[in-house]
Amino acid sequence: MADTAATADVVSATGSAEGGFLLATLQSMANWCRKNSVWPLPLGLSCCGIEFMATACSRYDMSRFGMEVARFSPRQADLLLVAGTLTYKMAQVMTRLYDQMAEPRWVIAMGACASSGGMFRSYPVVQGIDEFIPVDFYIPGCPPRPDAVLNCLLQLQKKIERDRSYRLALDAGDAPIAQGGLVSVEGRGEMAPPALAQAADRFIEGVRPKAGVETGTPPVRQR
Amino acid sequence: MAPDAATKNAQAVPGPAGPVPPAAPPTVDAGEIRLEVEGEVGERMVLNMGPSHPSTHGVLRIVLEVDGERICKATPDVGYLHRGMEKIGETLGYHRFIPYTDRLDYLAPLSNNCAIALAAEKVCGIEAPPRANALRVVVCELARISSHLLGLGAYSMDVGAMTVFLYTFTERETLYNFFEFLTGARFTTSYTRVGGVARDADAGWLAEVRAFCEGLPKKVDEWEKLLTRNRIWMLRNEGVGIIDRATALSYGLTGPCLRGSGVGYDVRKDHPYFGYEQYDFDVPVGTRGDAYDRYLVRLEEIRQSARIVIQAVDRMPKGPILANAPKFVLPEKTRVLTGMEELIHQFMLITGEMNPPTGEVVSYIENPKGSHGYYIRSEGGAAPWRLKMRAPSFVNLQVLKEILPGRMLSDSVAVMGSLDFVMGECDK
Amino acid sequence: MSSIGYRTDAPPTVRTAVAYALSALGAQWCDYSATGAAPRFRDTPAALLDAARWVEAFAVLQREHGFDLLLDHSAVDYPDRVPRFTVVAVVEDTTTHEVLLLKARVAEGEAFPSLTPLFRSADWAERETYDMFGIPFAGHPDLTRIYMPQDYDGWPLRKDFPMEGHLKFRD
Repeated sequence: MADTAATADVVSATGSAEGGFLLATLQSMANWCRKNSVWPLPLGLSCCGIEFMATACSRYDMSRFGMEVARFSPRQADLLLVAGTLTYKMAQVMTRLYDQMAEPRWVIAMGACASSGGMFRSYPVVQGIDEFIPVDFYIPGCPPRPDAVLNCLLQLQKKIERDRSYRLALDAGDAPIAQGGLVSVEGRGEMAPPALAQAADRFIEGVRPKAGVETGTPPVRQR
Repeated sequence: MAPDAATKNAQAVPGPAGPVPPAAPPTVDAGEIRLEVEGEVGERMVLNMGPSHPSTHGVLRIVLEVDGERICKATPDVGYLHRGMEKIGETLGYHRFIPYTDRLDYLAPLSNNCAIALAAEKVCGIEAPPRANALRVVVCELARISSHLLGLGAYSMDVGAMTVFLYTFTERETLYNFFEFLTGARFTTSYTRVGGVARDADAGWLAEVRAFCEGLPKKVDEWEKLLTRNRIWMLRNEGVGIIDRATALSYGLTGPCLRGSGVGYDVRKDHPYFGYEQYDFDVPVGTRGDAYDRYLVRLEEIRQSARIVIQAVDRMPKGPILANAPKFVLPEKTRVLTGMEELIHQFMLITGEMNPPTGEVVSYIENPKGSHGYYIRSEGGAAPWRLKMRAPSFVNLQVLKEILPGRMLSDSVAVMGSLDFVMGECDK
Repeated sequence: MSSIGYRTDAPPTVRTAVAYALSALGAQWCDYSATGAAPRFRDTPAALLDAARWVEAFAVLQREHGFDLLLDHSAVDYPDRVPRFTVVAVVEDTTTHEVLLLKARVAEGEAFPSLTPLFRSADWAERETYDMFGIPFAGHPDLTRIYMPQDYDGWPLRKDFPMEGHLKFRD
């Protein structure tokens, strides 16, 4: 049941039929409001943070899209924009921030280092922030041009437009993990972050994230 | 990472057999740092600043002990961006390490490229040709302008003057245009090569850069009008974060932090490289060592950098941009794709058939943040046996634990902005 | 093993007083002539000291000869050599602009004297060397890791430490 609901969630685009006309209108109004006032939490870790600042400044001007309000408090932010290299020492902090953010929340991995470790295949660098938190968008580039960042933010706006969380709130267990539910993302194919297939893999407050397993055989990836 | 539990202070109480010596000072487990708490824990608050914080200029964490608004103790905690650069350098080698240097001081990537190229050339025993050196001077000074602009913008934004941030970033966009035209990338440029630079600059680019630098002092005057005699700016920065001369030298500060404290130490003047001795420029030195002086030093350095660029462009010598040393220098890319010998040399150098003489070199340049450079120990081979990078931001940051106590909480932001550090460089 | 030679007389670029003071402390000066590099590319005078005279040498340089800036401090690992590590420090005199490189050898696990009483910048510099190599510095006020997390296991810049770290990750 949960599987079909998840696949139905993926397949049907706007699903205006579920929840009725009133809920759908309310949903689209809420989506419109949310997408035009996304408040990013810029986790400017390294060089990509500078390109993020350039995106927010006069030439590329993120505030055209309502996103210039950068809130460094996770309680007030909607979007966790991880810009830069994540190290294991910082990963605890990042997951803590992610957990403190209120839903709806989105995560963008900006740059090669946040997406996959980038050019740093070394001992302290996390090979992609999706080892710890689910990611909505990955922006390739080292650093990505502000144009690319703006493109991603527009795609994020489209994704928010497609949001159906009110309908899902009626039955929260159905929702994927990124929207606060507990559904396994197996049916989603390659876009699913495999590291978080089980809810128990997420960072739990007070427990250090498992940085790796000491054995030689990695666990089998869920596809 | 707030402390999970503040332990109660165990006082020494006179026991039946006389006073019992007090136990070891109580510690507060603030996550990764154990602090010794002197005095009553109840009056002081342990406040964690960062690593995700708008004013810490990257991922710096400072654990502050505050008593109301006064900071009693400040412990900086670094390492949240440690990426293993030195180990990567020791594994990959001189040529392949150059793109990694862009990511060190990421506000002035060209400066770092020049530092590693200079160090590697010293190891290999070659010298870059005069045109390459002049181009390096131009890009280093443009990178210095770019870095000071961002430092100034971020500093003033943190202190509250948001406008300056937007103005300086607009100028930086012009600089990014120049970098992109010359190197292909806005900001992670990887422009230098061991033995020279990667691409030549044409006359049009040089003319535009010269025109930009001629117009720069006027723009600097505009920003000065916003800040220098601004009453609020002066109140927030004068007398804040004073580092006296002896402390500055003892803490190993370099760059504008040291010059703001009255020591006229500038690697460009004291150990000239790239032909800096032929350019006519001044080195601004402060008097009181407070945040205001450091701000003034940086502002004046922007003007002096513009002056150097104009001279370098005027005197730009003609000639090759790569040294003639096929055993160490990567050949030009167009020749690699068309010529046999160059292809073989390229292949050999990249896959590790390079043999510089053994020995150790110490080579520093004047980064916008301070004296930046390398200690390289070579045992032959394409990769150094030991590559130690001197990060001026790492050394400059230590002084925080000395100058923050006694100040108010909001001064910490002004002090950090005036020190102008970059965590990419600090954490390597 | 490298081909750096050592000799007892200082190179001509070193001030006579400094050369004399360091030689009195048992310094052996590096001789790069056999390595094949032109002298102008190996121009920083370098001296090998005994670890026991480390602090004394820097104190003499600071107090009497004006070397007031500790520029750099690190270590080099030679896993096949005994003693294993060579601790390296670079000092500069800001008035005369002379740079000196001093080094001393220390075995694995052996404590090395700390320069913190003389230079405040040695505090973090030695913490970094400790963090990366595992060389304990005797007399350091707070010898804890600075780059890696406090409970990290291993000394990253040693030659037997793999670049990708010693933990296996999920991909």
